[in-house]
Amino acid sequence: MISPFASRRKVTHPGRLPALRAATWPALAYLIAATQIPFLFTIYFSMHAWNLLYPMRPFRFVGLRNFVDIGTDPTFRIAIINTAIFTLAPAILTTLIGLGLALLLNALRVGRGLAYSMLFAPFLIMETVNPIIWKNMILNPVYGLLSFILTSLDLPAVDLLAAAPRIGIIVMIVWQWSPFMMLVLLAGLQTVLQETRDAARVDGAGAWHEFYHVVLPHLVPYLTVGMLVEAILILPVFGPIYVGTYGGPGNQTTNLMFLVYRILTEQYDVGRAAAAGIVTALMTTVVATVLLTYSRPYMERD
Amino acid sequence: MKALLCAAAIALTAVAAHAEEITVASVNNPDMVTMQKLSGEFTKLHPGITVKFVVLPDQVLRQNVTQDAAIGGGRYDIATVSPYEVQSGWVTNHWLVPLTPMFNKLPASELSAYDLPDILPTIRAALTVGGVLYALPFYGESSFTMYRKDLFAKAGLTMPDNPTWDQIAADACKLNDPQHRVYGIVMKGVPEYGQLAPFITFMHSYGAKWFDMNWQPQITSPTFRRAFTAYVDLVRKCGEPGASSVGFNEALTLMSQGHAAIWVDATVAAGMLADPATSRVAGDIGYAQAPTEGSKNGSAWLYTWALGIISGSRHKEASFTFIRWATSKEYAELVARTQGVLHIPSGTRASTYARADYNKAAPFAPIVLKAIDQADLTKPAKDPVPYTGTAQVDIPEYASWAADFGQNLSAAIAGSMSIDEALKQSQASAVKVMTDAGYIK
Repeated sequence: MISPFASRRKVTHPGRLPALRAATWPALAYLIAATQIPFLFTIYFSMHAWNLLYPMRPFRFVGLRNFVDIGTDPTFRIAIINTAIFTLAPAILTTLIGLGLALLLNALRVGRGLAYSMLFAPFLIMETVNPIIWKNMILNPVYGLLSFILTSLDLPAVDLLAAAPRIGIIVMIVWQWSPFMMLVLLAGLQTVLQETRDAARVDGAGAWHEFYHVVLPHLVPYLTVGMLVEAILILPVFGPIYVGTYGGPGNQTTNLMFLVYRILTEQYDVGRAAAAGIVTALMTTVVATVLLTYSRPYMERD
Repeated sequence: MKALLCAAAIALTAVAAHAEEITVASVNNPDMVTMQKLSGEFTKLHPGITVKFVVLPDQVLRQNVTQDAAIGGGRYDIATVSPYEVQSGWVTNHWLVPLTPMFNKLPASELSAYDLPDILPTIRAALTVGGVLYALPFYGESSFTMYRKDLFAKAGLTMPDNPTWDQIAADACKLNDPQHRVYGIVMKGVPEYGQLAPFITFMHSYGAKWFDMNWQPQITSPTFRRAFTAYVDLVRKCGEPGASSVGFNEALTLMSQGHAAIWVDATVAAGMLADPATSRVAGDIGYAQAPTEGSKNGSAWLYTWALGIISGSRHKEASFTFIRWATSKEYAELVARTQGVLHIPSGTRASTYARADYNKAAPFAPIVLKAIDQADLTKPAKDPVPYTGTAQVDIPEYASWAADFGQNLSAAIAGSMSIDEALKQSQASAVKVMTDAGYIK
């Protein structure tokens, strides 16, 4: 890997010693230690029965039993479905909302900085504070803002977190992540050359045609990168679920992250938690690889 | 000058080497925060010991300390533990230092100054296994009924001293006034298993039980079903909306802001509702014993945060000195003097309830004392059962099945799961956990 680089240097700087492959070993060893050893430990634990609550029971090898256990657990299936829902729905919704906001901001001539700062604020709020705001100040059916608005319009108050807890969680994630998409797409919009737009207008394109044939194709790499980053970062979402609904009611909002947390902290079952963690990591890797492979052509400009 | 600095540095090192540092892992409730604030007084009395605090919410604390104790990490010398830890396996796992032998070694003067018999007997029993004491209670509580005297008077209702759940339900439904956002009763429905205590006492008061003497789960039994149905029906018909997200803090908010007429929960809430700084209904709250419905056993819980010494500690003697100080009569006096008499940690010592100034500041004190005196966590159910525990079930597997139960109860309250389905799933989960753990075949 390093040889062509080294040989070229040898030519340009004849006085220098050839780079030794062995010289990179300490760095490589550090890299392996820092990134792979925790994962190897997790694999090791996942094949053992080890529950912290029973120090008298032996730590013993059980093969793939932990994986079979979680595979047959109905909560695990719910968690996989929820993980997909809580990743896909926000990725799509934040893209639509972020695009809308970015277009509005880009068209704004006065007060753009102020509007930008305010719209971006939700992204800076901590992931665990976000659900506190939503759960207590907005969605609470007794003293929340939503029920206040509904009852002042003579409509019945809604308890969203009981009636449709998944929608509640999606709302929290979308509220937090739309500004991120807005930021990415706004950056894209600002690189659309005014000359190109003018040319489109001269050729007789209306606002819609200008957007659809000029602006949107230009934004494709930005959309792809934004959605990719979002999918990878939102997949292990934890704060809104832990604080907002505690995975309930009835596990309706339990995702893989929260399930791993529960297995480790409620049952102290290190073996099973490690197995569930590995499955989660594998799923994230698969999703990221697939997305990267399929989106690469869109990220490259012609 | 240089020599002087060197000498000073050496002197400092010498002091540091002699001073023992003990680390206390504590829950973040107000009494513990006061203890942290006053720990400077302890250091004045014992200059050789410095105290470091790690303050965490109770669920996180329990996880951290359990992990540390289990792997013998030695991060903590002292931890706040509850009867659950003491009774559910921490003692059998040898994670806590037995205190009775340490008391036996104390000089007579110190022993009589500490006055062990002054600690309320039910609280002491909750921290004792096989006649050996494993932790010293810092704070104790039971559960009881709190209600709005003004709303009851306006509706011409009276609250008996020993109400039944039938009466409570009837009164709650009469007082339920959703139009004015005042609800008949506030009940917890959050899916966290750590918040199940009110349901557990409810179901025990109906004569239901978690397990029979052979550890067979009883969740689908007719008595359990009757209790479960009554709980869900009451909260859905005459309770607060959004109950599936209501835990202790949410319930306290609803009650203190005047949105609820009745609340059955921890006795410690009485002090918070009586504080005009945070409560709009201070002065309007009446108190009664926890409701029963056929069973006095288990109808009110007994809970305490106590200070125990973790076996991995390398400073056991210093830790013992500290936990005796923090649970002593002198400490109660110190709190009364510096923080106000209402802030004395409640529910641990008879001498606190003998204080005239305390009884004056806390009108609920006699009812709290009676509730604690009568709550026996070794007899949690009407029928004989193999388990102890009135706020939890004191077995290490509790969290495993209770977490599922809490989710299903919450779903039944939210209306997304039928009562029969919730009971069936909870029973299945309990059977699986108990089978895996080897209690049943």
